[in-house]
Amino acid sequence: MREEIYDIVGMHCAACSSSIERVTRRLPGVEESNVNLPLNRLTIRYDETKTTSEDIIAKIKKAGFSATLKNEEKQEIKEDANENAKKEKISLILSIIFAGLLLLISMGQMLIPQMPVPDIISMDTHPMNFALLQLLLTIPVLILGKKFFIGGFSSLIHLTPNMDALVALSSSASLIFSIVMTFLITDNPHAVHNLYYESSAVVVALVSVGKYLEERNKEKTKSAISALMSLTPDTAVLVDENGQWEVPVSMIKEGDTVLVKHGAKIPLDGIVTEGTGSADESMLTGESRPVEKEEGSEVIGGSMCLGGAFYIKVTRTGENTTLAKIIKFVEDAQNKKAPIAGAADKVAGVFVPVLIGIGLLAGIIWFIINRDFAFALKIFTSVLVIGCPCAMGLATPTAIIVGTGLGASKGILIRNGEALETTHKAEVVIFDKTGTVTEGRMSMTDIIGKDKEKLLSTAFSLEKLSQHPISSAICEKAKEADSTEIEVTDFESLAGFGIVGKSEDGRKIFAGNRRLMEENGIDITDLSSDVSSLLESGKTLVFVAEEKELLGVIAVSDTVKKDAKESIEKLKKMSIKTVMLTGDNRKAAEYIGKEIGFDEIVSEVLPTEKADVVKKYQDDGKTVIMVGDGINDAPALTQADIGCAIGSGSDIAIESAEIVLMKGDLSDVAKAIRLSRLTIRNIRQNLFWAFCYNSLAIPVAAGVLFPAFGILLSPMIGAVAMSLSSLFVVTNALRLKTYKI
Amino acid sequence: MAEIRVEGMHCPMCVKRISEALENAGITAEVNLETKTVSVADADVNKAKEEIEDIGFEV
Repeated sequence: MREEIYDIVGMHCAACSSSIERVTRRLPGVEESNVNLPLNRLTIRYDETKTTSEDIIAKIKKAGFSATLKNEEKQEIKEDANENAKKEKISLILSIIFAGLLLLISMGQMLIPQMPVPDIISMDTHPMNFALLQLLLTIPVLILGKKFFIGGFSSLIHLTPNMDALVALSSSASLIFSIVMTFLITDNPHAVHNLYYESSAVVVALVSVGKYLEERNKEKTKSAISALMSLTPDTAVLVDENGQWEVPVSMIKEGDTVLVKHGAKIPLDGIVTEGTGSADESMLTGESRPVEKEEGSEVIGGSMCLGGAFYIKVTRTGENTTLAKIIKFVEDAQNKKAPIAGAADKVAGVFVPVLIGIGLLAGIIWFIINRDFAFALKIFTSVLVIGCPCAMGLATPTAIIVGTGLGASKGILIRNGEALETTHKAEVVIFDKTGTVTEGRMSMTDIIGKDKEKLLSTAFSLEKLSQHPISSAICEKAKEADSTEIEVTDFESLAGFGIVGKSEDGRKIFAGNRRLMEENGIDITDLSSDVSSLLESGKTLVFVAEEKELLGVIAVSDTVKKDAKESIEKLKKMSIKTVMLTGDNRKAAEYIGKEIGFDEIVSEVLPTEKADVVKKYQDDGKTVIMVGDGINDAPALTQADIGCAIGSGSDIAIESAEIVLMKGDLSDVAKAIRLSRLTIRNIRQNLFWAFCYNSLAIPVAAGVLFPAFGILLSPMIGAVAMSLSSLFVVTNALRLKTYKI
Repeated sequence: MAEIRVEGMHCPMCVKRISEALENAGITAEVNLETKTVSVADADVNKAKEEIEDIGFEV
């Protein structure tokens, strides 16, 4: 028998609460079910063998409401995690206390002769007590750190030694040796000088500290995801013909109308249908300036309504919302491993057995040289502890997590570590012109022809059946001019050429580019001078014809993004070749291309040929980034080494791209490249450091400097050094956060 | 056309739940809050009653 409390959302009136009571009472095994309307709570007592919590929630959902168990699993998991973190912290503090005491006792007497020590445990008068006390203090530390031993030894048994194995081996070696020495004290009190309990304990304590800090830092970086997740509200105000109701967001469907009030979080992606206001989209796009919203504006779920209030029509829900996609993106990025990380892991894998080998070898050699077992043991454990390649294992993942997180906060989403790596190698960046370099909204600028009305009307009638930006431009102007629409039949859209159809009296009509005219034998030489001058000024031309007669030409032009020139400059400064790709005719393309400053301009490209252009540069051995607005650039984006989708608002085809620039800002391309370069540089710094440190430390630990300089590294110093090394790597990675890109 | 009397209907939200449930079940229905009735095709009556009860109303 179980009694549970559920929070119910969506109840309004007594009928609603009775409904819930009624349906839940019908479930098998339910003894009692009571709803408290003002508290939005259901108290239910049931036999869990006959009905489950899921059944209850499902039944309530079917009735049109949403229920969550008051002690939800999610909350439980979170509580468990907090519990664990607390337990870890306590263990850590205890280990440090014991190890500290141990250090004090064992080293104190040797380092500070004046230090007052109770006679009963003095090293000189009661060596056995001294030794036993140390043993007593060591044991708790080792028990608290048992995970290293369990993990380490099991990896040894499986012949895949890992870093924990190093810790386990060195700590155990010191411990066993010290215990043996302790027994020998009764026969030879001088054995007391060969006690190494503190090495054993301190190694474990220090490694625990290192791991704890590592976990703490990982949590901090993962918080980027939880921050994103907390952006969507649980409820929203649904509006229909009967009024306004506060409902759980999960119940809202595409097409529903939601009222967004001042100060509220926008629940889902949508389009404003009424009202005006401004939204803070910074958590999603990194854009800190509030964005004005009015009828027809798109809004993104998760952003906050700063001022005003408006009604929106929901366009996307659940997993399809921009926010859900972003979360998935960032999660994937942090979970997948970058190739460079894979390499580091492999090195670490080989390292450990080699290290154990070196340790054994050094130990044996020294034993042979001076027959001092204690000395040889010390060498062995030092090598093991100091050689630990923890830093190497940390170098890459930490930097990647910080790097991708940093990008995300600035509206630059990078799909995974691999993408980050490849991006930094980029040598060529190809930009698709329409929608990327230009705003994507064209406007009609000129109309040339003998009968302008007929020209416009014919064009309008054809263009209104087409989806192209050119079409919208022509239709817009035509509507303004009250142009007459005629019925068009047999409409056909020919990519790369134009559109054709039949007018009311069965005559063929055309609207398209020069090639379309040529193909159909329509002479355009009459207008050639106008055509040239229009082309010179970079306009796109639409020739309109009826049967074989050219009616005239309409010019449309695209607005170039404000910061295009600057952004391309930035890339050129980074020694990157910039290329513009477009289906426009050569003159128009060159006009715009030169204005902005592209290194190369590839024009008159059919949509199907875009990917081939990308491939051509790749065949030259270059790493290519393709920047497009995703919709018709998908094949090219996929072909490129890095596909970069640029989009403003929520209209982004995230699927085919490795990088998504949420702000639609061209300068973000340079930023993304800079970010990846900084991250890779950081990783290299880390790896270099880890490698140098290990290469120097191991020989010294093995006693190479002893014969000449008497320099040795005790296992303790080794442990300190190793922890510091790991700490250094993680801190260096965190330093990435401070970079301005 | 048959009319099902649903006493428990109080508020527009109830109306919405009923109409949605019936819609999901593929039944065209007219829900009237004033008269507390649901009109459906004769053939759908039994199914409609089932659905309405499933949501928690008494018919």
